[in-house]
Amino acid sequence: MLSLQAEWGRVRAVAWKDLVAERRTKSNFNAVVAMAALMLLFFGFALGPDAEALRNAAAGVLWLTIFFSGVLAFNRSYQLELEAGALEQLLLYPGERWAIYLGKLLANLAFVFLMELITLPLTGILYHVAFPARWFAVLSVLVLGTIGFVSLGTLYAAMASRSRSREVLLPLLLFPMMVPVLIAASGATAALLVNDVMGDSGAWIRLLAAFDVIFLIAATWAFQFVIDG
Amino acid sequence: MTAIMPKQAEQSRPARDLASPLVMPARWLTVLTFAAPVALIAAQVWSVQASAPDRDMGHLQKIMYVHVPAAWMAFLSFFLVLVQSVRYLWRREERADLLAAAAAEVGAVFTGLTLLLGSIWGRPTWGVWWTWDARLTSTAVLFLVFIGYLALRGLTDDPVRRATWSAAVGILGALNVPIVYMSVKWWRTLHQMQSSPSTVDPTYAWGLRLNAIALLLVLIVFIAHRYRALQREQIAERLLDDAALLRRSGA
Amino acid sequence: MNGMVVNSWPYVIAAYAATWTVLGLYALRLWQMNRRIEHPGATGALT
Repeated sequence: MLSLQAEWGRVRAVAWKDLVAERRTKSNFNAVVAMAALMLLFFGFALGPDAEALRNAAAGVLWLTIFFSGVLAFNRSYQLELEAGALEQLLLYPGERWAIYLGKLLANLAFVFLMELITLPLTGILYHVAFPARWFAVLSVLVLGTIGFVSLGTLYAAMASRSRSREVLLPLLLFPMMVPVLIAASGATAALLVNDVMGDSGAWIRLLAAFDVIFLIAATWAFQFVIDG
Repeated sequence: MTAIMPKQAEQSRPARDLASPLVMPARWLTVLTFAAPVALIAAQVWSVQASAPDRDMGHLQKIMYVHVPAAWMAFLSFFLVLVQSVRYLWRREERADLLAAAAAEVGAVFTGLTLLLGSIWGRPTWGVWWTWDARLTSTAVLFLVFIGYLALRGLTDDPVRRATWSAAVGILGALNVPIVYMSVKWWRTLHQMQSSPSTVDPTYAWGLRLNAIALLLVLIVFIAHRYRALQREQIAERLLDDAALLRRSGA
Repeated sequence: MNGMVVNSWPYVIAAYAATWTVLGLYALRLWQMNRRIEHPGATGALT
């Protein structure tokens, strides 16, 4: 049984490997960002040019865009290893499965956060949202929501990436799980964008935090079954 | 030579574990299969004629006698999926996986029925075919969780992988159900939506109970039959695999 | 809340019809499923 320090080393190694592989090609990241921008435009076209309508929809559209474009990234994080047959190799090394999960989680988090760094201001511009006074709270909601999204996405992609119909299976499995995150994150974001006069955001943020804790633990535990199966 | 070989093959697999009737002996099942619809008809006839038209809802309240028990059965099924999923990951018993799969399919049917009946009730009550009320919406999410679970099973060929992955998905899905319900409820109260009306009429309560018991019998019968079908499929597959092995080694 | 519907019976009948239809169709599916397994005849590999 290896020490915690050794496991943490493995976490960093897996995360670094994934990020380096991504950085070399960059094509996947660019494609996902382009997809996000396209989605923002599409939602804009669908909801109409009226500034008021767009502003009201901005928070919801932001989170839908993050989910729909982010989900495209998760399968890819396993695809590279699957193609090279490296996944079996990785599993042969001694060590805890959760280290692999956390490594992949960190890499995916970095990927999605970077994507959001571009998507968030783009949403503000396209949807006529004034720069929020409570920008720090908005960022906190972004972080909490993203953690919930990526923790479950990383887990489900471990299954979907090795299944038939992986493009539809991943969203089909992941999105019903995302309902609380979508409701809470878009609700809190919407409230905070208008300075949250009703004080709604506190409850939503607590729900997001609870969700993250519960499912980070659950996903870390479930990963050992999912990756070997 | 060929007479000896099958016996050797049988000993190498724990097929006996699968073959034992987990749910119930065959004769009980036959009795229940006939008793369940009779019980359901009886419960429905009694509750429909026993309840007087409600002040506000007229006869619409009678829809509750099918809608509410269907919802209860849906959640009961999901709970069964959760328990069997945990049991599978813990004990690796094939029977647990098959029972989870059977419960999931039957649960999906009851969940779909709940949504359909909720829609039929909502139209005359509120004028809309769908209300985003907390319970109905949570049920819709539950339906999609079931569908995802069944899709995953359908797309995974290896039995062990299928069992392990479904168990993980089932457990996480179950964990999420109360969270989904809470978030949708908060989401609704923020916009000050009305909740579904309830009643404390004792006839109504008894009507619900009787229908629930009858529908529970239907649930058990459905799951038992679905389980047996899965069981037999698995045995048949095993025998086919053995036959293929024999042909290759014997010839 | 909306007021009482003048004639609520069609909806009640629809609800019960829907219930029996759904349950009946699924029962049919189960019956067909179990019947097919009992009398395979398709592959003939087991005989």
